[in-house]
Amino acid sequence: MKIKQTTPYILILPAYTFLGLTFFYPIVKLFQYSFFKRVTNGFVFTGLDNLKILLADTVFFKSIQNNLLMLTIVVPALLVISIVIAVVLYERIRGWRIYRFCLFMPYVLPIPVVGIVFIYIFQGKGILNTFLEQMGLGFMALNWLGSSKIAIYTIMFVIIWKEAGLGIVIFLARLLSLDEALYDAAAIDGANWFQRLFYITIPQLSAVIEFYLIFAIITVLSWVFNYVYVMTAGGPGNSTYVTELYIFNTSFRFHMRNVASMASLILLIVVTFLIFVQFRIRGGMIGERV
Amino acid sequence: MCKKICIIVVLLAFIVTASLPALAVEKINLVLWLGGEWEIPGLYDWFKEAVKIYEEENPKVSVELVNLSTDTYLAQFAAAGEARTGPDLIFTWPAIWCLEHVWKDYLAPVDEYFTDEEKKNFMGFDQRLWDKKHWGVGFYVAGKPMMYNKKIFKKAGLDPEHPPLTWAQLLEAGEKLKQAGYIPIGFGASDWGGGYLVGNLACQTMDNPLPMLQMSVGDKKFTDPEFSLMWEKIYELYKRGYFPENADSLNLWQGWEMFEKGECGIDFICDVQISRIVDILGEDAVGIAKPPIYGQGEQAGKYVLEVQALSITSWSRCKKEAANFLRFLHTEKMLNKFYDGLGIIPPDYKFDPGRIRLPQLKKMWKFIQEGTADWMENFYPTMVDEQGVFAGCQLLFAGEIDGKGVAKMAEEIAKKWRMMNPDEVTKYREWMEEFK
Repeated sequence: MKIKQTTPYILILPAYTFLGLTFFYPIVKLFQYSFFKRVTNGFVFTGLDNLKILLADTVFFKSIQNNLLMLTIVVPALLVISIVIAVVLYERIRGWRIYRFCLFMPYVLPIPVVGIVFIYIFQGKGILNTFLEQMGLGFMALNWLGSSKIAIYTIMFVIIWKEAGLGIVIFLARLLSLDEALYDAAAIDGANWFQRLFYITIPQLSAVIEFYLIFAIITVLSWVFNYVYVMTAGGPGNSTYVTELYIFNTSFRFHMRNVASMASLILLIVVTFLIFVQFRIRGGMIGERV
Repeated sequence: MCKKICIIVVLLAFIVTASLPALAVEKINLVLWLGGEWEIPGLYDWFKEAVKIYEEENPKVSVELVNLSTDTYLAQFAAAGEARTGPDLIFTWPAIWCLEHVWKDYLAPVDEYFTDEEKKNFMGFDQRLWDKKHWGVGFYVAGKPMMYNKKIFKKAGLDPEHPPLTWAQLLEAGEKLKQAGYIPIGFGASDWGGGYLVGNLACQTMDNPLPMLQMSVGDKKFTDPEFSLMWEKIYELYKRGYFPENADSLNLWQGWEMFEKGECGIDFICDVQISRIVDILGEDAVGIAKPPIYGQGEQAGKYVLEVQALSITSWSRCKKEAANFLRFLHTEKMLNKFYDGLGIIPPDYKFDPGRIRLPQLKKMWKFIQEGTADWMENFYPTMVDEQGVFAGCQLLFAGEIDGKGVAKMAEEIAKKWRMMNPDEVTKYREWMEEFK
């Protein structure tokens, strides 16, 4: 029996409908709320008014600044730390499986739990500062979450602590699948540890690095809300505001849905651009390999 | 013929069974989104019992309780409002926290469902007044006393029966408490402590909330002494070291816990905690007083009082039944059960104060009768609260700005809010008419 041309489309229609409702429809509404305002009888076109409001808001700029700071510090830190630790574990030091387990554990913990525990650790008279003072290192006991200059870096530390585990496991899994003959040949040629790392290990990890880079960027841009909301709620003094928190507060606490929608649109454009650049670079690198 | 009779019988049977649901008595289902468990542990369980009693007395009504968390309450309310579906009754804080939702047409006025006699007895009824209508009925009182530890006072050489009533007396008491090795005033600033201080103390330079509304719309400034003086006083206490050293990394609850643990002599704690704290510290250890006076306004020296309410949603299809449930909560039987079960004074002047056992609550009832002041945090925009007041207070306690700096931050955010929200500025101007 000949299958009709339309049958496959009918079969995938439910999935596409679901995708449309959960993905495309909200984006359409996002554009609508960004450029239109709801009034009693419908919508009124507001043009770029919401964008002008955002551009005049110092808290919004602070949010963007913090997101960019996280992208430039947290993402590379996650990458470097994950690779280095994976390589060390790959040396199969004694107890490496236990270390792998311990390093991965933070990743499975819920973010609110991690956030609350670290609040207690980083308090002015919390565990960390008390320990430092008792060790005679009181000068290092800083105002980790109370200082507007330091709090954002404290949050970044917590993000790296929690998220690095996944990268370590992914990179280690790739390393364990590598052909040992490459390292044997390099050893015979007299390559040292660093040369093996830069000329064999990292090139062999390049595909995984590309994948993890996208993953880390998504983590920083989406999950960062959870960390900030639990640990500082944007404080102290609005210094840890991130774009996601700005959107949440502007929409749900301050009831300015149109402004929040415009901020969401800007975030969507930025993320889309980053992923596009990522794929262009990746596409170029694949082309070079070919 | 037989065939025709069979067809008629089948048709009749079909018609009868199809109309049975319509003939059956329809049960009304009320959905109640309840808040307050965050400051009154056990409130939700009490309400479950109350609902059981109500359902027994009203078999045609069932009440579905949903317990709200303070973290998600505003977002859930906004989502329900936009979808125009969800609860029939919802928890509301007073003034701006309620009116924001009124202005978005999320709530319905309650006046038509209650008699004048009933309304007269509702404590704090005017805290949700807009357009000459009321938009909620109170279900618990949340006053804001200054609590002090009488035993610590005695150890510090202070008279436990005479707490500080003026600012000068507070400074003196603070010094003695500090010298005795105690933290004079427990407090946590890392979350919404700034708003709590405003609520407790800002009213003292004002006769009513009008100046706060004027500051919001730009007719006055947050940097004017009416608002900034309070922050200069707080900064003075901070510089003297009367707050915990790490107040900037403690949240408000942790600041209150210091009082429970006997670490501080004074704290500003919501009176719903009185019974619980008396259980912990002992009846003879806990004193309550009105906040010490520093201002010259009419509200200085009065007991700051909020009444948390349940409001009827505009999309509810059973508003009358929702109002009946609120009426039920205000029957003498339920008012007494509320006090007996939770140790909290219910917001109704019908409540018999003779039932009050704790001397602290008796004093609180007396304060309420003497006249109350407004919780000023309820009279300016939430954006100013969060990005101005909370943020400024956090920086003050981190030692990065002074009292005037906090007022300046509030003013900057207010300017931004006015630019972002011209529609709401108009609403605030209309709201101002209620106080002129």
